[in-house]
Amino acid sequence: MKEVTHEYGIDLFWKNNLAEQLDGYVDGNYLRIPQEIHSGTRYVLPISPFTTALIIDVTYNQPVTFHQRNTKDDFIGVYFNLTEGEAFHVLDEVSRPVGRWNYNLAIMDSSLDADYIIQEGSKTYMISIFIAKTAFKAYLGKLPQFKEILDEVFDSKKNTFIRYERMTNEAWWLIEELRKIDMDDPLYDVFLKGTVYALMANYMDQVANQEILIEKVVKEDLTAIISSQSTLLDLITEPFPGISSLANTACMSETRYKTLFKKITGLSPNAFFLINKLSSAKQILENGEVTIGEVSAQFNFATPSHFAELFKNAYGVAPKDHLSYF
Amino acid sequence: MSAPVLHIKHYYALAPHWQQPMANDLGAELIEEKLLELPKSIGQGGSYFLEVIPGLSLLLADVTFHTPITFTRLATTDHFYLAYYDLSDEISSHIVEGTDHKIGYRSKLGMGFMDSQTESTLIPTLNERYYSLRLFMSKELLISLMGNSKPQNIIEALFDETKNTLFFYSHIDSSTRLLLKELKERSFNDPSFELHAKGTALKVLTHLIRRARNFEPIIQKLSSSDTTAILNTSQYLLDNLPLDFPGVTFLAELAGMSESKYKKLFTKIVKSSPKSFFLEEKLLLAQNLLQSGNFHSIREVALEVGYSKTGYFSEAYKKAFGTLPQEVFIKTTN
Repeated sequence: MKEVTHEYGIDLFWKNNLAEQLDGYVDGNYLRIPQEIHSGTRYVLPISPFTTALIIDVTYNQPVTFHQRNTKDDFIGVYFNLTEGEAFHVLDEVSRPVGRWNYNLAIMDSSLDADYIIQEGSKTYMISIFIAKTAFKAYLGKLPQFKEILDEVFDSKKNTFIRYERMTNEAWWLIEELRKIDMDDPLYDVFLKGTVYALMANYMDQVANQEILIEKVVKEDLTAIISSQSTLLDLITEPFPGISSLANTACMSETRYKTLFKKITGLSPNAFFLINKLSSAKQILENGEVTIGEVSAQFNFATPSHFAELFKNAYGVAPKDHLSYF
Repeated sequence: MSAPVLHIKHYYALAPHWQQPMANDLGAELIEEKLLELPKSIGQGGSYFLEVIPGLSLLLADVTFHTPITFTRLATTDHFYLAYYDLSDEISSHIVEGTDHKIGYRSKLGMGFMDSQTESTLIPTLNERYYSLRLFMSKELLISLMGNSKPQNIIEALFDETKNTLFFYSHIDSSTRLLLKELKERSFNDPSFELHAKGTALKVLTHLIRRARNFEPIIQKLSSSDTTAILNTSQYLLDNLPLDFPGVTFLAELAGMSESKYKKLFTKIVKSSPKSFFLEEKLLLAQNLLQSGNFHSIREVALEVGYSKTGYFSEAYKKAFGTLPQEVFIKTTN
């Protein structure tokens, strides 16, 4: 098991250290890493004086634990992550996996520490974009809902940038297009820069509709929320355990628990639980062999008609009609 | 009495400083050295300028002109290259009453590439949305992106302005067209516009270089009269697509050149021989007409673009587009 403590930044001072920690070396824009750790490429490209991109296109040949400990708190990391399989786990204080990283887009303040383990055999394709907070501030300042609170949002004593979510279809397509370009062609850098701008534009359009919660977050908070999500997913057939019990397990006040959960995932704990419950129920229905009544009982919905109503609200069709498509 | 034509003489540069003199001449407002807003008396809209990466800047124009205007871009000593993409300037057709041909059409080449040391003139159509992207590119950037597509001495000769003039006209490739159509949906005032515009410009540049790498290198200096003469003949061909190919002898005479010089320069600028250019354009027009929903039969379309035998037409169409005309044909409902 490889343990790597590393950092990122807009300037490229971190490249050598990361390459060495992975038993490799820096070769121009590439970090060359030995096959025993992973096959594939790590490629770093400055996009502008305010932005740098890192492309990771690798298959891990042994488990690797990454401890991200940035010394610079002046940038935001935007991570588009297309890792296949249940490969990415978030670790707690004693490096135990507490939950799976089941999102494919993360926005993280560089002041925030993070620990991950990536399993052997997992294939990762990830575009990480490091953007100076000054530039991020200029972009977000153009969005109406940020105007009033812009200074507060960028006051690191009051607020930490953190959000785990799903990338849009457009972002997914932009990345697929980039993956088709030959990295040895001098046009790759131009296309990559174009893709990074397009992804940032796409993210701006995505964030334009989001509510902003100003709150300071540290690594332990993040671990507690991911762990709490894991718990909720384990209890997916049970009734909702209640905020007070969840907050208690996370060692937070109820208010803080609810705020952090929403800040990090964009959803309230209740909504997160319900969406996942419905999605699991839907999958079981689609596999066939069970009735709507049985599924409703299995997932502890009050009545089948209540289940049908929630299902219709979420997917736009009643479960009965949905099944008739199969 | 028609209004006097406003004639704006201006220059471009990779850096933003060229905008202020142009804004002054137009009575336009220049905001943050990137957004130029026209006074309402001249037109609705304006232009948007950005430096994208070292050696690449973009200029987007999105304007509906209300007053007759002519722009002349002056040659600069500051040496760089320009690529124009005019979305408004592609094939369009409409029904004409009371003529032999029932369809009127307009066909122009929407993309141009030239040296900043050549002068050019633009006369936009009145009361129609004019949407175009221009890329300004340094010689160093372009050379670095040509890669190993051609031997190094050929690349050097191509970019040596004492030996060669880089200049060509073409249609906008479909990937670029798609990118520009998406950008066209957005307002300059969108919070994410600057990022979208930069992303688009960089991707358009990669499409341009990919095409340029495949061009047959014809190293030759062009005088502005040669260029004008060739472009006049290519427009003559575009204006007469329904007729038969007039022949190189006729075209060379029209251009006032020997046939061999004419063929060489035409191929250098248009990237096809006069005859294949004419046939390709004829079929592009046919494609447009087939999908226009204005015809009863494929035979009618074939006749419209000058094929007396439908079979020949279908064969040529399949060769050009890989599909038969009937697969795309939309029959008129009248």
